[in-house]
Parts: sequence; structure tokens; C-alpha cells
Amino acid sequence: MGPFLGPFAAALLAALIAGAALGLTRLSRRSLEWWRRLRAPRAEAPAFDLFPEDAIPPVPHGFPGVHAAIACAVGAAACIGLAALGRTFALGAPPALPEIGRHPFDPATFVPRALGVLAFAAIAFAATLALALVSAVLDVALRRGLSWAFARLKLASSARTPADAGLSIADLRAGASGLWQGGARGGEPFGVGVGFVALFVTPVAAIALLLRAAPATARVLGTGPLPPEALLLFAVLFLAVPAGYAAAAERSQREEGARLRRRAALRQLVAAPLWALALLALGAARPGEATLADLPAWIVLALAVLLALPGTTGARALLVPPRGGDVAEPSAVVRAMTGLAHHGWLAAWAGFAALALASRGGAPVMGLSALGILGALLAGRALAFSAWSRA
Amino acid sequence: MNPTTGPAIEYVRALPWAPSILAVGVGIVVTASAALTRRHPGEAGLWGALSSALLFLVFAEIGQPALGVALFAASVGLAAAGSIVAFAVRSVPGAPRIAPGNEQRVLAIAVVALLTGAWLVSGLAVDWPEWEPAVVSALAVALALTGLGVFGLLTRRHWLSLVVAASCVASALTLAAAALPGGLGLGFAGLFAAWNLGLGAAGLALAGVALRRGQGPWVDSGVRAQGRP
Repeated sequence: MGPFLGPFAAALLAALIAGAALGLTRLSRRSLEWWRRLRAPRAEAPAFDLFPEDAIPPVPHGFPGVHAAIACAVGAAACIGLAALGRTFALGAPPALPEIGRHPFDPATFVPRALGVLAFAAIAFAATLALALVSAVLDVALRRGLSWAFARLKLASSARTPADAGLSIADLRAGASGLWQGGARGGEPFGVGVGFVALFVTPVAAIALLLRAAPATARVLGTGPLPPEALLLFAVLFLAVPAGYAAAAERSQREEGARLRRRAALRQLVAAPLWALALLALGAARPGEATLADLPAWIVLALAVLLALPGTTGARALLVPPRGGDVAEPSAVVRAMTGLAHHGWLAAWAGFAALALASRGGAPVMGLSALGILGALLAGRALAFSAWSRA
Repeated sequence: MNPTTGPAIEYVRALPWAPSILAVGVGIVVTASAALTRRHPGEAGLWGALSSALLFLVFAEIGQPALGVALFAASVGLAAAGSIVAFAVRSVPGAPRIAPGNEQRVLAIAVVALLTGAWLVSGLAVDWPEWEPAVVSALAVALALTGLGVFGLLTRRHWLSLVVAASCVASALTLAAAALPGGLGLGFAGLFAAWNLGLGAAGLALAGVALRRGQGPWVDSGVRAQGRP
């Protein structure tokens, strides 16, 4: 399990931090009251009422109903399982049992190894936050640039192409402040917090996997090679996004929040077989072996991923890509967490594509490739929204 | 002659254990227990997915990470679908939001203890000290997980909860088959993994049908409150 301890430690560290944050929120009655008294009382921020309850369209009956959702989830899981089991049974002779060292319980190696794993987890956590912020800034810049260009070309007014990325500094500050002061409870039950913690953990673990899989970062970190099956874990983590939303919806006591979260889970589940099939067609884990024949699969993968990203939408149609996190949530903590998850996953998928397409080019080439792919994804989405708003 | 447990404890301690697998195994059993005791299928599914994620580490340790990925994917897919099915309870007027709880725990503990004892006694016929540490430890984890899953199957009342318990048993069987030396059970391991996903999907589909028709212990009280038979 050696190569996987880092990603798992990153995921568990992220879960610990997010869980502690949400726990602090839930325990608001015992939180830092003295700190609140020290500060001047401030007016409560106005509720974020982008989508009032009446405006949220009901989930259509029939498709995608419960059984269609089951079929989509199981189909995606089966595709990932097929990709994985195909490797096992294509090996022929069973692999020999790997040598299991005495670590991590040997006293001489336990402390440095544990510290190394924790340091890697902290790096992955910080990298996720940084990449999510980079993605959000790039998204805003692209949308403003497109709005400006459309205004110059008199194709659309800037008012019709909103420039928010679903992850604002105001939300991050309000979320951190709410957590610190214990004022962002929102009356949500524990299970909703578990769902959002799971959602927040997924991009952290995915980026930790990419850091371990990329040859350049692995050299810097001084870690060994990652088994090819590890990149299939990336797909499983993305499949956990609808699981987090569905769990949050099931436990939600607010009817409008439950409906928005369920719609997000259904949208992500409908897209899941598409990206899973595309990954299956691409071979899922063939770094540096991409060919031109893979182009259709890459296009399907990009479209399905944009549809399956974390985030709720208030659009009447179900299959509309989210623009960011859960912008309609009244809690700044949830808006910040889902916004970070949305942009963290965007950056993770850009890194995944760069790893598959340009892993042999060294760290600078791979980094520039990831930035280019991220920019292309965001620009494509902004253009699609702009065209849609003009239609 | 003084009967004592000393030789048995010495025998167990002298077995070739892999501490890393045993440590992760404790985490697997704890998280699977959390999954089986939750009465909200959404939370149960997420705890089950965490248990499968830890199980992947054991599969990686015995040289079969692909099987671990397949089980992890099945667990996450079933968790998402199970929450969507559980959401359908909202459409039944008056039905409670939580699934029926455990029952007959003492009987289930007795049955599991009997089964575990029978497996352990038959296991004495194997010359364990000659086996690889990874195999012995993985089989021990599989035994614990099987006992937990059987306990869940015996105590849970609703199909959504039974799916989680059945998935626990199927994962344990997959691990046991994959851990056998020389790739003896590799084919069976693949079949058990596929069975896990197929059985879970069938169980969720049937649970969805039952909820839609207002049948089963979860929605009975709501249906009775509405005056329907």
C-alpha cells in the first residue's frame, strides 16, 4: 500500500479539516462566544436568494427516474470495473505477492515515514486550494474577456454573460468567518455535512493521485512509480461526487435545498456513463500514449466532465452544466466548499489530460499543457453559455 | 492437566502476520460497522464507500489493486444510487425519513459466533505458519468482514440496508478468493466482484419498486396513516 498512503493521507487530512470545520459549525452554541463579543456586532448578510423555492423546477417524472439513476450509476461503476478487471485477467499468470516490509511499524522508520506522508498530504491539500483558486481566477478572466469581446462585436451585452465563477473571495471570507464565529450553522443535519465533506475530499485525493502519478512531481517528491491501476481511482473519486450530492439531498431538511442537490446528483449520474465509457475507450491509464484516433473520446470526455462537475443549477432543463459551486445555498460555508470542489475538479481533470497527453515532455510542458487544457475547457463552457443566453 | 489459553495465544501470535494489512483491516471493520448501523442510506453508503477505499489498500498490498478499484467503484456507484432510491420515500405521505432499525441483535450475534467458530475450527486443518503473511492477514480481514456482513444481513430490515450488508459480504468473499496463493481463486474473485455490483443493482431496483408501490416496513406506517391497505 506504500504508493497509496500519500493520497489516502491527503484525503483523510482534507476530511479531518472539513469535518472539523463543519463540526465547529454544528457546535455553534459552544463555539468562540468570547471572540464574537469582542467584535462589533455586524448585520447578518442577506440571504442568497438566486433561486427562490417557486422558481426551482421539479424533477421530471419518468426520465431520469430512480431506476434510470440506478442504471447510470451501475453502468459507470461497471465501466470502471471492466477497465480494472481487464488488466487483472489480461495478465495471464497471477502476479507474485509483493514483498511486505516491516514499515510503517518499525520504530526506526515509522516517524520519518509518517511525517513524510503527512507532509505530502498537506502539499496535496494546499495544491488543491491553490489550483481551485487559479481555475476560478482564469474562469472570471475568460468570462470578462468574452463579455468585452462580445460587447465590442455587438453580439451580446455584458449583462447577459455573468462573470462570477461560483467561487468568490467574499464567499471564502464569509465561510471562514462563519466557521470561526460558529454562525453558519444553517440548521442542516449531520448527514448533509458528511455528504459535503465527502464532496470536498474527492478533488484533494484526485490531485494527490496526480501528484504521485506525474513523473516530474514524483521525482521532486522522491517517491516511486505508481501502479497503472491508480489512475482508475481518479475515475472512482469522480463517481463519488454524485454520491456526496445524493447523500446530502437525502438528509436535507430544506425542501428547496433537497431538490437542488438531487437534481445535481441526477445530472452527474446521467453524465457518469458517458465519461466512464470515454475513459474505457481511452484505456483510462495510458500516460503518454495518446493518438489522433482518441480525439472523439477526448471530446466526449470533456463534455461529460463539464456536465458532471460539482455544483447545482437553477435552470429548467436538467442537463445544464454548472457554472460553479452551489451558488443558491444560503450557507457561505457550503458555497465556498462546493466552489472549491468545482474548480478543484476542473483543475484535476486538466491535470489528468495533461498527464495522458504530455507526460513525456517534462514538468514545464506538462504544466503549460494543463493550463492550456483548463483554459480551453473554461473558454468552451463560457462560449456555450454565451451562445445559450443569446438564443 | 490445567486447561489454558496460553498455547492458542502463542500459536496465533506466532502466525506470519502483516501488520499493515491488519491495521487497515481494523479501519475497514470499523467503517463497515458505521455503515451498517446508520439508518440513513445516504450516510450508510458513504461510510461503505470509505470502507471500500480502505479495502483497496489491502488489495494493493496483496498485489491485486485492480480488484480493489472494481470493488471501490461498485461501492461508490451503489452509494449514489441508494441515496437516490432513499429520496423517493419523500413521495410517500407520512412515511418516516429514516429506514427501519436493527432487530434481533442477540440472535444475530449467536449465529455469527457459531459460524465464525465453525470456520475457525475448520481453519485449524491448514498449516498457517507456512503461508505468506499477506495471505494470512488478508484472510483474517475477510473473515472479520464476512462476520460483520452476515450480522448485518441478519439484523437489517429494509432492502436498502440489506444491499449494504450484502455488499460487505461480497467484498469479503472477493478478498478471500483473491488472497489465495498461486492465483487459485482469481477467477472466483472476479465473479464475486461482478456479483457484488449486480446484486446491489438488483436490490436497489427492487427497493425502488417497493417504495414506489408503498410496500415494505419503511413506508408501512405512512401508508397506514393515509388509510390505505
